[in-house]
Amino acid sequence: MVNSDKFKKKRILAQIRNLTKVYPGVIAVDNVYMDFREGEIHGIIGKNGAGKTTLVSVFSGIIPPDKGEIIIRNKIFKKLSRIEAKSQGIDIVTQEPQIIPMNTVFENLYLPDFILKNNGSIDWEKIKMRTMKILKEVGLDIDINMRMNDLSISMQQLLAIIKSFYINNSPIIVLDESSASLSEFDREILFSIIRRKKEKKAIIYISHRTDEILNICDVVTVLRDGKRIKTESVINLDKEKISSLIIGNPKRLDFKINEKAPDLTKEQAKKKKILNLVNLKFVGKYENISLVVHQGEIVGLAGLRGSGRTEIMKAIAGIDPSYSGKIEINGKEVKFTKPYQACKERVVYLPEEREREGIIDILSVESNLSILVLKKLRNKFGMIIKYKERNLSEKLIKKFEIKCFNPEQEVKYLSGGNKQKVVLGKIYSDNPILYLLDEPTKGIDISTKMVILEIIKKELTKNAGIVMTTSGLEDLMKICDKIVILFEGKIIDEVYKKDFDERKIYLGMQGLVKNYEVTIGGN
Amino acid sequence: MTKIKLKILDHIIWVILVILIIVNAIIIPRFFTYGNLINILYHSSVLGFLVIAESLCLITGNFDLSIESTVAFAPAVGVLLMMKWVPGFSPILAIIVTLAVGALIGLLNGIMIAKFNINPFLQTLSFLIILRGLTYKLIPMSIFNLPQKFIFLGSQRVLFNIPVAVLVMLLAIYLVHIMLTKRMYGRSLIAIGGNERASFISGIDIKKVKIIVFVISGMLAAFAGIIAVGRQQTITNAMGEGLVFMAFAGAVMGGVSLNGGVGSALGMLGGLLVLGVIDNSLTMLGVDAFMVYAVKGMLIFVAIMLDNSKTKMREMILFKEELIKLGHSARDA
Repeated sequence: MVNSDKFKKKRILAQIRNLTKVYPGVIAVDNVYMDFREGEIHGIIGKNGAGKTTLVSVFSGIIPPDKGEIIIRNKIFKKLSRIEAKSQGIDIVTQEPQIIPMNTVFENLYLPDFILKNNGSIDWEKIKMRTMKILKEVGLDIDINMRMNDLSISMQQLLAIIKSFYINNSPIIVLDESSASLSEFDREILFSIIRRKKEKKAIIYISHRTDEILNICDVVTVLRDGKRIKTESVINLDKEKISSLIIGNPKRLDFKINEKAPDLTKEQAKKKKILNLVNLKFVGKYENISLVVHQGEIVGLAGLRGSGRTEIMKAIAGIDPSYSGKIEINGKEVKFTKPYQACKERVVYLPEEREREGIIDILSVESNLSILVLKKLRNKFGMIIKYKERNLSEKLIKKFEIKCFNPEQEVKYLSGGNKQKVVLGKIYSDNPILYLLDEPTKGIDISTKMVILEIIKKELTKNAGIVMTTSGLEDLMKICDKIVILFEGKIIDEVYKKDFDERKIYLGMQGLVKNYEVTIGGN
Repeated sequence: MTKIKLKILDHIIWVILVILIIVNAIIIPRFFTYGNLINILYHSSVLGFLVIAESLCLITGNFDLSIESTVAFAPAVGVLLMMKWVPGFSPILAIIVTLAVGALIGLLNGIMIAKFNINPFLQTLSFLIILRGLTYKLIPMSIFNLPQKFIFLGSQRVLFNIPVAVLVMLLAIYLVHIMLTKRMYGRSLIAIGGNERASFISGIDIKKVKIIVFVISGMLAAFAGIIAVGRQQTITNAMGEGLVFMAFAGAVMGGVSLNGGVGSALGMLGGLLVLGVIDNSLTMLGVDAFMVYAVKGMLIFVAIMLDNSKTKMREMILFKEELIKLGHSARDA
């Protein structure tokens, strides 16, 4: 309780009062109250769709609220424009780095508040000097004349953060999942910046990662379904507590789909080989990839970003066909150069970027679901029969538990999880023999994730083989029969279900082969 | 109730058309006669084909500026074959050649845009200028006394005094309706306009679909040219000038989105007829021809504002519906 007295002494810089924002289908932010104090790092955590981003977007003037007020230093605002918010000292760093790609580092940092000479022209010398000084202080060693698009995403994001903290030097800074695109090393730099500059600032820190929140924040607010569930000092919290607050129904966490399914390792010799890769190679991306997938089998590709997992799938699907080596589908050698050729052989690909590559958001749920099989819904004159299309879409909506008002609703109004179910339903409709699932659970909340994993395990494996990747290992371990570990484009090892061990697989993914072998030997 | 509201909003152009017709029928004595209404359709027929052509390109997220030059260039080749180059060339064959020239122009546009990723604006702009230049060169003077079979489509009237051109245009609208709602190809057009990358990954041959849409567009423009030649019973080198902007106007007023992925045949017809009625009524009121042009321009402006508020109104209606539903479910729980 000593701690909470300490908090009371800190000056409140900004407040949110009964803030509400409604979107079609959801109340994104529901009557939320929050205080942001000087010198305090306020973490906000919650599932996807909990309302974190909407809340801070309203707070920083990007979108208008439907109800409620924002109080900044005793001034009450019914709504804020972005420019007003900025002049009130609210700065936001979004998930994707907001930068001008063709401009240099120093131009980006000082845009739009350039330092001017007395005659009104921009003082580039001074800007360059200051940029160098700031980068030195932070401990970054990059050439300030580099163009932004020549830098890594992680570095771009870090520079956006540095801009808020050092150049804008705003008293209130919102970091909306800014750390997600940072590398491990850059993340440490972010933490040191925050620790150094937190003194006179209120920092709002949004993240998906509980360890990060516990590490850096002073106070944590948990959001669920747009409501504020709890605001608590970080001292009174640990991982389990936060997780149960986030999920609200902790039992679902222990549920393992894999335990119910039989071990396929012995049976699979009898089964049909669906996919056979022989010495697949793409210079600089992957090499010596040999892999077999049987019918009814789920093979997981475990690897970090850049390990070649996505590229291998894209090669099989005909999206990225510049490889050498052999791909056999059902015993027949194929080389797809376009996705429609793969679709003809009933090989389907679920793209990692759902919004950009998966759905057509202005079209209806029905049109999205039927796009692959329109051919089969035609009569002998080539006309698409409406009721057949409706039957198909209704069947898929039911089977995949897609939550929409009716099949004619546009996909853009659905939540991320439901959009993903639409994409799954779409590729399922063609009755494929091979699924290539690239991060099917990316950016989806835990309960929907379980539904999707169940669908994959129970429905998709019926007549097909599956190759899939996920960003976290837990999902792979839940449903895969075999996990292939990739590191820098090479297969490090294959592990069958009975030998799954998260730590070993994780070490393999990090390229710690020696360490890995030692542990194996130790067994 | 919500469904009806949304339906009305989707067909708002028809509501406007009906209001326009009623107002005109009251203030202009000879407006609401069979002859005049047929006349409006007849005068709209050339633009009609261009509106369809432009709309189809817009639905895929592309556009075609070159159609207005094709209107003159394609029939010019056909007419010259008959009248100058090959004595005794069959008029029917000349029509086929005209359509083939239109298709060829479309094919070139399509290949450059789909295969070589040339920006559709630049590609079709260059053809707009090239073809107009060639037309000036080919027919420096108007050519008269064209064979009856060649001008049949544009000049003849059949049953109930309805021009063939009108029937053909309505048939084309109907075919486009079938294509967009019931045919694989039409659905692929809409899908590509909605999200090209997702369509590609879903196994649509997007290059083929795009090339074909430009071929269709070129052929429709050539057809519009044949009708235009028939209507004025002569071919001039200025035929079609300025029409592409009206084609854009008709398409946008009919609810076709400039971002692609949205559009219906019924809407195209509505947009076309609104333009036709305005044109007709202003002329009958004796408004100066240049003023008519300006008024049409203002109308396009109004259409854009309308389109803008339409999306907002649509979201408002949906939003209210959601609120009611959410309120109910909250009470139930």
